[in-house]
Amino acid sequence: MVAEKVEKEAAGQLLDAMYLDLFHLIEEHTQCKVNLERANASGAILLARTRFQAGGSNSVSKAQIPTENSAEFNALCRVIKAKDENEINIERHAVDKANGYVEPLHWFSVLPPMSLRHAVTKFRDCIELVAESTNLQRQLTDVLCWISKLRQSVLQQ
Amino acid sequence: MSLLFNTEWGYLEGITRGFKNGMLKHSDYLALTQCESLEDVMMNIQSTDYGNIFSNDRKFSVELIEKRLGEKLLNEFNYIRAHSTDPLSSFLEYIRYPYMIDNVALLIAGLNNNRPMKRLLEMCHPLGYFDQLAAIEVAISSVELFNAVLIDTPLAKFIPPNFHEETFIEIDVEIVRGVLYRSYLESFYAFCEGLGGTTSNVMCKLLGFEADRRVITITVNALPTHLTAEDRLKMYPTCGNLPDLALRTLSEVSDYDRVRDVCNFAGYGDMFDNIERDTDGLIGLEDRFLMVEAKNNVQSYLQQFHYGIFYSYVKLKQLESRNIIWICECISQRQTDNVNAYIPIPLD
Repeated sequence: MVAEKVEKEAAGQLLDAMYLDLFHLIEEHTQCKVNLERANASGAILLARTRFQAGGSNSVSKAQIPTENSAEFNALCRVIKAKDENEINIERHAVDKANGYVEPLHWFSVLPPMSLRHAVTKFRDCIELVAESTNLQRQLTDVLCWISKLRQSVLQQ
Repeated sequence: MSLLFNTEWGYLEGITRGFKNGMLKHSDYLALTQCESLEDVMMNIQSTDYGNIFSNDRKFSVELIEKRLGEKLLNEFNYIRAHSTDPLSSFLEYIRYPYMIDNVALLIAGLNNNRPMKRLLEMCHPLGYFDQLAAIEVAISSVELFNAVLIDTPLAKFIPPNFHEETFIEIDVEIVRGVLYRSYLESFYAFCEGLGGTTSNVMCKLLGFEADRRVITITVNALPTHLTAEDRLKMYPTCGNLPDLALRTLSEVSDYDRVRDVCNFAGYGDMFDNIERDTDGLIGLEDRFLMVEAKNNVQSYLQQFHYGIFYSYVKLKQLESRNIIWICECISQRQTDNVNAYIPIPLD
């Protein structure tokens, strides 16, 4: 009886710790999404600023951005599984035109203005934040799963 | 000169001054920045000199607003052009050449990327249409385009003698455009110098500033790239106030501080200072040049009986259009904190 009570208390404390973890993860995940939204919005407004400074209609990007009929090329940024199988990482390649790793900025201009370069930085940050958000989401799912199992085992006792 | 000017172009000067007086004032911009949706913006625009330009439109977007604003300027410009005589008509053609260069650059980029010509022609700027543009449609490679552009189009005189058929493929289209634009600007400068009088005084000042602006902007944008000094020099117009030594130095500099030092020496140091506004650092070097350009173009109206007012009107109207589009972008992206980052035009 005492042992059962001790077990239940331990389970209760573990459950409390897991719920605390859950709340911390929710907070981090929400903050990550807010940062992602901010970075995306900054990137979009910087693109609008580039159009404003350049006059809007004289970009050759309309004729250079790849379509489904364009030649194939390799992505500079790929999502890969981390050593910890449950997490993902971003793998970046250097620009190497000969091997198909093209610089996407050159579709817009070989003399890109500062605002366009800043927009590139913001969208790169967005990719990192998406990966971070995904990892946090996976951790949240794991914690929820463990909480559910623990609650079931406590109820069965 | 004033009597002679008025017999030929007095009416057109009067019309253009009327157009300029109808441009948006500070109070109009205040009303636009307080709009909450694109529909509000369109209603406010229709209560200005733009009139009922959205009467047949039902779907509202930033692209549509930009298109309608451009059509208004196009109609006004075509009216002036249709009533002009030489040398004003040649002067007005010079105003159109940059758009023709942009259109040809778009066609080159499209052909190099195997895009259908018909689709590319739809993307061209209407101010840059010329008769032979439709004939260029039959070009299926940039080599054929080169021959078409070299032979019969108004841009033939801007193609440097060292360009050949393979140039359009070998060299990036931005550099081709930069070289053509340099040729155009120097030719326009020489044309205005030849006109003499007030036109020459006003236009040489405006074009000299434009040339310097291009030099500095190309230099700053080229800093993080692998563009060689020779390529940079090819694009630098020489008709500005920057001396040859400054041009050679700027073609070789590799860091921002050095550019700033050269520009300080040449009198453009103020462009690199920070300006305190509630705009999250959106104001950059190009914006400062736009502010000075706006001021110079407004000042051209202080003198009479010269062609500079036609050039200034087109520039100011385009800046106004950009301002309106910027406000629309901020509203459509729900980032109204940045809505005040337009370039004010000191008309009042």
